[in-house]
Amino acid sequence: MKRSRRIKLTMLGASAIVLTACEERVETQVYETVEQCLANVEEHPDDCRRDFESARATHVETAPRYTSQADCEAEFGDGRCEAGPAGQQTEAGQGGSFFMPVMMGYMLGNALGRTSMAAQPLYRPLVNGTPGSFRTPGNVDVGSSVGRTSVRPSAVNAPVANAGQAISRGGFGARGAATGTGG
Amino acid sequence: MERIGLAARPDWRDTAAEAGFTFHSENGPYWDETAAYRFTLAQVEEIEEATESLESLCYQVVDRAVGDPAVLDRLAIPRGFHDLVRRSWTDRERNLYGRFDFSYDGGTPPKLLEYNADTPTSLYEAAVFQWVWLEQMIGRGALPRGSDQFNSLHERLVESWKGVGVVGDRLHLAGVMDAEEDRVTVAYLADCARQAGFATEEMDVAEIGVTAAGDFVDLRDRPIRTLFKLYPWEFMVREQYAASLLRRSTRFIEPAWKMILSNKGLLALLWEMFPGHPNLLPAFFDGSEHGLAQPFVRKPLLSREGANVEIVGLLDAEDGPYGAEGYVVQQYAPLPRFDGNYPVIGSWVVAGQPAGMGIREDTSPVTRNTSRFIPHFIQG
Repeated sequence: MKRSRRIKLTMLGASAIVLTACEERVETQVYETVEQCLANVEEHPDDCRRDFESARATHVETAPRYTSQADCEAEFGDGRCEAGPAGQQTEAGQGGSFFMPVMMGYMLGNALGRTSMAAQPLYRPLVNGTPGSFRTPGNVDVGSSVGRTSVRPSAVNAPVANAGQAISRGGFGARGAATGTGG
Repeated sequence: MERIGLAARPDWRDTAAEAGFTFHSENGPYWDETAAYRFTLAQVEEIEEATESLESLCYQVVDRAVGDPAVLDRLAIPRGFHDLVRRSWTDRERNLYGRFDFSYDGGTPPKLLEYNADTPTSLYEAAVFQWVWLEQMIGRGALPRGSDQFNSLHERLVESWKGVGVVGDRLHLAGVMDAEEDRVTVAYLADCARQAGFATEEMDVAEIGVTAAGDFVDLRDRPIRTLFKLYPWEFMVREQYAASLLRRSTRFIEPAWKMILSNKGLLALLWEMFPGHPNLLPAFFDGSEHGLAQPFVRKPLLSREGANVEIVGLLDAEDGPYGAEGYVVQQYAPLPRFDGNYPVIGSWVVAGQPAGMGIREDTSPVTRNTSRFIPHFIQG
């Protein structure tokens, strides 16, 4: 036989490019504040605080970055963006101002049963004008519920630090704009 | 090889919508299942063998070109990028896919018209929608059981992503996302990559950023470690970020050495090295004493979708923006004609292996952006 035996497409249904329904899930916990975590008697108070601090530190390194506050707020909502830390060095050793969404929650690291796993800061980009579900710095959707929850395995990947702020965009694409480039 | 009139599935538009095939009628009819081409297995095997042998000849051309700056000059590859091309080859950066376009009538050996080695499209419809068509046609009794298709594209793409050399924690895929055909091609390849186990991020090429150090980053300032780009190398080396390509901090798919193959000068180089090969047409760089009798075809070194192609002595040039970098001339091999239509066979290679076929058809002897896609099947 000259042809494929079976074609499985996760893009079946153009709008549902990512199929999550039958994907394996991982148990974790999501909180908006340390207080919520502390109210969960099963958690050790030290873990709550330590994970929160760890997520705060990771937030500075991995939050989505924007060159203007307006660009950031367009995605996360008015008043939900903050200036990046002043004087933070980019990879090239040059400082630069940037904006990032405020941390809207955090996902516990220790709850994943992997002691080496970092806690993750969480963000809530707008969906139809209101804050949508929680997302990791890697933009993985971890749902809207607070407390015990399950997430896609890709959500627990260690967040990748930003490479350094883009000093420009749009340096590719001028020749192929609109018409496409395939042959 | 035969062109057979068939009844279109009454619900094919719904099936297309379900399968994410959104551009079937963008500039007039594109997907056309009122006909199909029937091949014998022997004919398909002839196309398969031609594909395999040409792919290996192409590697020999690359091998020669990277060692000879004069050849890279003839292909209009800017001097500053010769070393990038050479190193991508000597470092054995793997390629993912490409499409040979053949003139073939079912009887004489397939003749290479051109090689779309860098940014081929019409992939999704060949890999998926034509496959679904055959499944349904057999299932509904419109084609006999046992009908087959030269099409293992999907399986091979998924498998080949694993070996192509993706580095980093995610694969970025960029294209001109305003162009529906490009967007779907990128989405489809991303889908195959996810099935191969990679995290993916799709973006517009214009969203690529550079840091002060000159490294490429995505919209969230995450490093782009591996980038599949449905965007031609010949554009990239002439655009604003060209210098950052030299840092080699991003692994590109297709690799830079594909610049040698995605250039019509390849046709002249192939003929120079393998004159008389049964799957090649005589071809020469323009301006040389080629001795081709009219009509012959004149093609810009860098051209897409039939733009600026002229059949000298027969047909004026198609309009288009290409030609500044020079031309090749190629002996005119009339396309076979079936019921007033001129089909071109697109024969796919994935990771160096023949992987399937898609047929484009036009009422003009120059295949263009508006040519229709006609499904095929194997019987006999």
